Amino acid sequence: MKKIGLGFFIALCAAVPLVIIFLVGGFGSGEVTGELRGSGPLVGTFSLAPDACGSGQSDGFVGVYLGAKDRSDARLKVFQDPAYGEMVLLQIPGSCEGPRCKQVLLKRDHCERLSVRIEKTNTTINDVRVLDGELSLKCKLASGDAISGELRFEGCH
Amino acid sequence: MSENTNGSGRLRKVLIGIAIAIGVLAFLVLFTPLGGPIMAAVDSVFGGEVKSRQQYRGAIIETKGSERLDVGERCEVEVRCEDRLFGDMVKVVLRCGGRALYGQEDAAGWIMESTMRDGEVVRALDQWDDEGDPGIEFDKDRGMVRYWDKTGLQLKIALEGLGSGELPAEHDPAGVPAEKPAPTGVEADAAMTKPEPQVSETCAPGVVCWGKRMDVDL
Repeated sequence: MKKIGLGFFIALCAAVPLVIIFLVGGFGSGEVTGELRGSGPLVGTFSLAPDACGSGQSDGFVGVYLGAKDRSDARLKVFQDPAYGEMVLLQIPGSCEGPRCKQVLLKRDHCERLSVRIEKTNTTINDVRVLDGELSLKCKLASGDAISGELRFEGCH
Repeated sequence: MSENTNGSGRLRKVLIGIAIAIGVLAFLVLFTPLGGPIMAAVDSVFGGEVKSRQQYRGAIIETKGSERLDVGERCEVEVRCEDRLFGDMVKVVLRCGGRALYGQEDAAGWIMESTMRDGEVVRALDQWDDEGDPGIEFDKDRGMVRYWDKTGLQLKIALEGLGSGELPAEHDPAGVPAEKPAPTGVEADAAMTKPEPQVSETCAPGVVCWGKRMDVDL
């Protein structure tokens, strides 16, 4: 009887926080739709269809990280700076060599179209404001590389 | 036999009570305003040694906004790195003209985005303005502090004895060096002879570069 009670206790202790975290989506967050495509001499040919997102609040910036859950090299950072406007830091999928990856910071100056919308929702989870938004870009770099696409994201925290 | 059963029953009730208490505590920390003070108390208890403390004097070189401070107003900046419960954490305290503008002497308000070099903080950035929190950027290499808040007040502060104290026009908040000017003359000719563009070692806007891998779990 004691053994059953102890097992029940341990299971309950473990289950309560896990159920709470699961219910609020503690493991990964948000929904992302859309795709970015790139081609050119430096970025090669790639497509990136993120399926997860996270807020940049804990990293001290207003914006989101987008990426593929199963690929740690497929990441982009979308953010708005009060002084410098909208920017996208894109890590080229499949380009990483150890701790280094091919990246490009896109600003409006380099793009025919770069539109970022980031909306703060009325919801906070773990003191992190949930963010919705979208990104649309069409950029041509001096190197001849072209990157374009549209993404929508919801529930990022 | 009966006593044994009663004992087990009591034990089970006690254990269930403890489990419920843990669940309630987890709920309070995760979902209520009590979470902040609770975590702050835990953090203050487990807070460790000060690893570096940098103190600077400077002056306002540019102001914008309704609640203006005057250009030339003296400022004091302290940048501290402490070995805290969750690892090295950085705090910036800014005072100008006798006014405390940023940073509080409590356990909260740590800056999440910072860069250390040779045991010193060389860059710290807080640009999250949710709920009216002010933002700040400390850049030792440029000898500069930038501050802004919800009232529209924006300040640039040059630090004595560091850098030029001036923000370059193309300074980039992503931590990427400013864009280099277009090559001219001999440089341009040399660039023309390159058959293909190369991946740059220096990250500038619009240039494909080798950057530090974005290690963020999603």
